[in-house]
Amino acid sequence: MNDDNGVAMIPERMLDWQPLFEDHGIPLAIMGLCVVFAALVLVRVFIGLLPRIIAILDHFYPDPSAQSDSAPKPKVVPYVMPEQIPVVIAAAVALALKVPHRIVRTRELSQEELSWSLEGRRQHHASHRIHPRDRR
Amino acid sequence: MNPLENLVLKASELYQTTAFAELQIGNVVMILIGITFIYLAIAKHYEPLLLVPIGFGVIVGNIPAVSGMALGVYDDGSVLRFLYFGVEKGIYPPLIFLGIGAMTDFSTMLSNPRLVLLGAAAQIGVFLTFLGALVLQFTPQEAGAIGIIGGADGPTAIFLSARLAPKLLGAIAIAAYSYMALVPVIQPPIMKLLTTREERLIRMKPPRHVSRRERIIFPIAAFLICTLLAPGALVLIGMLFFGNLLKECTVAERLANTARTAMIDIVTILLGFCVGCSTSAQHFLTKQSISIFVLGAVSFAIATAGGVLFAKVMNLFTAEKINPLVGAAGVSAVPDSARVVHMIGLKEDPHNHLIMHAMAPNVAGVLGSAIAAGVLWSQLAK
Repeated sequence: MNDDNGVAMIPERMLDWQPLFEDHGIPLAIMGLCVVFAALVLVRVFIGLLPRIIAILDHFYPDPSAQSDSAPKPKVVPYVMPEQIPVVIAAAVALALKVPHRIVRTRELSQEELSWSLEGRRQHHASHRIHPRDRR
Repeated sequence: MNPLENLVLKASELYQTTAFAELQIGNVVMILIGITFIYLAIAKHYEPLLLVPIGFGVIVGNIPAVSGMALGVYDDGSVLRFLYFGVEKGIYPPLIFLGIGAMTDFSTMLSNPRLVLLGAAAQIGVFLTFLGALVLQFTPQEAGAIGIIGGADGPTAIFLSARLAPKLLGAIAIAAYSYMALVPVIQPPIMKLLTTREERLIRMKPPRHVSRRERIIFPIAAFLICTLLAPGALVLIGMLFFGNLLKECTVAERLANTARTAMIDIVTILLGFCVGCSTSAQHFLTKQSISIFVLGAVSFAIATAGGVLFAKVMNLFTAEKINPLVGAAGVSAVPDSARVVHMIGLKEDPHNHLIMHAMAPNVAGVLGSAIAAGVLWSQLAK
């Protein structure tokens, strides 16, 4: 490339490494990452301590909802599944899989498995549709 | 002047009052891009809630204005200019964060706190891209705004670029939302490349029950921790945790419900449409935009890799193993990246449901990217 005087021009430099070593370069990046880690480590530590904090809090100011949880619970009557339900499940599975299948057993979810907020789970699942990548 | 000449003159004058007179090839290209966004949203279901408003906004923003008429987002006094005010001044992103907070269930994070660190690790993409943008001769302010694309958080990217690099706002917003929409395409190859089959099969223990008290205390305490360390994140994190408190306290259900439904929908429409409108070819089709898109892709890939690799490093020091796929959810594309983790996990083991485990780093990633934005803003604001 030549300029008006026919002198060869040097192409504009695309990469400039100098800014990396200035205040707003690598030092800022390291500092920023440290702040992010520090904040989230502190959040992590706090979450770790949270059950203890709750225990202390409960000692002085019991949680009414927890009290109702610890109150004597009515006797649980074993649930007997009506016959129609496995039939409906089997029909739904047959429709979805379209291959021979056999439902071996069904079970109720444990309390631990139900620990997730149902509302939160519903929203996460409903917010976007699942699209398998190999769909046709 | 004979009647024919008069007719031609009138036709010419009429032509000058149409948008065709000012239409350039760049506008046509952008209109095609807008149509492509709408196609991807409708046919491929890539982030339809965002890509439909943005895509249509791109079309609207590339209809050339007739001289003397204030129509576009850059024309003083136009209606679009008033709507764009919310983008330009960073009003919409915090409102979106309020809605996100009212939707977010932090129980996942509270039940397995070590996964929080994965949300921090993914922010390495932000800062490495920041350095990359500096090398490419962007100013530090522009580099900061570009780097935050790696956070995969559209509102945060808009919020920061409106403050640090308003001229690049359109390109950064489009890049951020494009990569958020392409999470199911970009992340899986990186996740598979960096993990072995054995690692992808790791099962994590079910989460513990989180009490209501914990869920109420957490947003207040976490807000204090985050904003005392990074005050620049005050607006975004404040609104996020305020929305979450509305949800968890259960006594303000009406407010929480409005925040997570009608309000966030309205703001999403306005934000997406206005961002699309800001991408007129004259402002958008530049070499800088191409660089921003390349850097954004790099940033996103590094962020994903950072989360996955950090999970593998954590596995070296802990007895209870983490499925490293979960690390990819450290980018804050909620809930898409968590869903991608879930899908990849299911492909390896149809009974290994990772979605709830992945939500922990996912929401931590939202915090991480907002804190990163706060740090960059506080350090780079002139």
